[in-house]
Amino acid sequence: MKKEEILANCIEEIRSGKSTIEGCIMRYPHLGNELRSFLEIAASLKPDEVTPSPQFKEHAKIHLFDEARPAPVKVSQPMWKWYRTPSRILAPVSIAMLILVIAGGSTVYAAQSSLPGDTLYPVKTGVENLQLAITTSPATKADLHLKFTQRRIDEVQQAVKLNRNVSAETLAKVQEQFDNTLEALGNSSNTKASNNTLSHLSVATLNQQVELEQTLAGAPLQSQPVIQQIIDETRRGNTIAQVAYSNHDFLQQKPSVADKKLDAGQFSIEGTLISVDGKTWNVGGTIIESIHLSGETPAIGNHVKLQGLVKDNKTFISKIEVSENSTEPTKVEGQFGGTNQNGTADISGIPVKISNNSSAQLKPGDKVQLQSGTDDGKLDITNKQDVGTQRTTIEGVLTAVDVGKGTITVKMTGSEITVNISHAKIESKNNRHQTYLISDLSRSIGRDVNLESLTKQGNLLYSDTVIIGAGH
Amino acid sequence: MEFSIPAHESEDYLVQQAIKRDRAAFTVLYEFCVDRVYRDVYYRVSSHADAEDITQEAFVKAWQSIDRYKRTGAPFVSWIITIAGNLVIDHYRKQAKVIVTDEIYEFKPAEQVQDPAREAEVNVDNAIIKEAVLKLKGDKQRVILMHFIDGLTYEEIARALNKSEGAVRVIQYRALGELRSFLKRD
Repeated sequence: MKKEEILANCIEEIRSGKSTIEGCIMRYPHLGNELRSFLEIAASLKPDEVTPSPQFKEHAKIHLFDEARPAPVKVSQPMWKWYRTPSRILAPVSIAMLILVIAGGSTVYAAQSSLPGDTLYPVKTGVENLQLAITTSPATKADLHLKFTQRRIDEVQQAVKLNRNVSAETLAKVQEQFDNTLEALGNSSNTKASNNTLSHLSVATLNQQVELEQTLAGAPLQSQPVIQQIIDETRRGNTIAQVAYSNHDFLQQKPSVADKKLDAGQFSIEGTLISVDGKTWNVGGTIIESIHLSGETPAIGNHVKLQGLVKDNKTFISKIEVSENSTEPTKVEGQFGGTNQNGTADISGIPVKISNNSSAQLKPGDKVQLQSGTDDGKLDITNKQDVGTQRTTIEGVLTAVDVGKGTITVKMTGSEITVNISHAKIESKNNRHQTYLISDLSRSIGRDVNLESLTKQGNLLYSDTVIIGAGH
Repeated sequence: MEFSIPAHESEDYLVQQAIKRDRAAFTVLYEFCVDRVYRDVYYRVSSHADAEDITQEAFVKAWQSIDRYKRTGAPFVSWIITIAGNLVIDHYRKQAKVIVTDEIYEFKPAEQVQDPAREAEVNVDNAIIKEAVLKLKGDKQRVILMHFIDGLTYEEIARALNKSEGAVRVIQYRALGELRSFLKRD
């Protein structure tokens, strides 16, 4: 048999599970190392685990029969409405139209790969503005803004590859697209479509953080501060998506990815729900005011665990867990903002009574974990750290384990993310010294899981630390 | 569990109807093929935004030139993938400077490897592999992508490329050899 036939047969046998690389090499020892290296390369040739988004598929389907190229434009607005389009939008639109007329579609197509500073870049952004100007549905607008956000971030990565500087203007463009996405979502009354976009926003921002963190390492020094700020914006975009997914009211607060206060506003608190007075809850002695919760208020006396965000004195709950019988102490986690006039500590905007010796140890900006210890109802510090550089993590529910591939699937904000954990340390949240094998995780499906130290290769996320939490 | 497409919705029937400008039939073909085309394009461009643009344009072009579709026995998706492949080439030509100067990995030619024991040592990192696949030219890249990324059989690739199955296996062998040369590094 010829070499190419042996190779083809071995590839098929390995792919169908009928043989292994070693098995093939044993059968054809005279081909030895050559066959092994060919089979190893063949085994590593696989498609990225990607699927097009439902929005894209639907959008492309609608435009299958368009005459012009490219055709990603939704023409749903009568032409006369153009006269009512604000001049702010019309200016770049007019430029794009002019370019379209003068230069034709091929220029526009060529412009798609241009970067800030390139001659054709204004054509690229002009065409984007054109798409936005003639799109009326807020939900579709939000999708377009999200797509353009991704483009701006792709441009950052491409610029770094080409050793170009990433300017503050790029940062402003990323922020603008993110905030426009959120604004359009806030204007949308289509909850299902908004949730879909928020779900995509959540996954997209997570991937963007990991990719940009990798880009940052190889970026020119002068670009690094800007890229770090873009990473911070993607992280806030992720936080906003998670809170808004559970609580649409949050979008009415007009959150912005540039708002650094969002970093300090994230909290978690658990304890017995002692009383509920309208929007004011007493959890284990800590009073939380102006609570915004989508869903039912738990019964008094239950043990509750709340996660959320305080913005403009309003407390938005993004996650709530209720258990009837729990002896867990009251715990609070958040960022110390200072001491209030009444002597309570400001933890992420929530006034918390803490023991005197504890408050002396804190400085504004510290991340703290507090826990009730004594009978005076005050909390003691159990852990504190400088905020420093915030880490990218995935928090979700474990839905699947593939021991063969070394991957697990985690569900968060309506999306499932597959992460390779074949080299990760797997720990239990309750006992960080106890470690597990990936094969043990099949029993943990349905439990909370935190994935830390994230990296990305190709299209797959990798995590070095997996922490398994409580079940539901 | 296997399922079969009803006879009136079989690919051949749908393609025949689409050639007669039946939009509904072409829309069903789109539904059948879009995920695979997208995956193929994404593999080559590594950007969701670009993959979306190119995938969409491939289907628009396919509809515009459906009357030129010749039945070869290869699945319809392979025709769309070929159209998309040409668009990807255009896409890279437009940003040629990016590709030409983008020498992230310094490949060492096979003949420079002195130690035979290292023959089998290849870096199977997916990103590096992808980078190497995209350096393959012409039919070598097409065969590798069609077989490993698009999941076509040797017979289907042979029909799509109008070659014998034996020729496809030879191209695959040479392509893997070239990949191995690309991937050998210090």
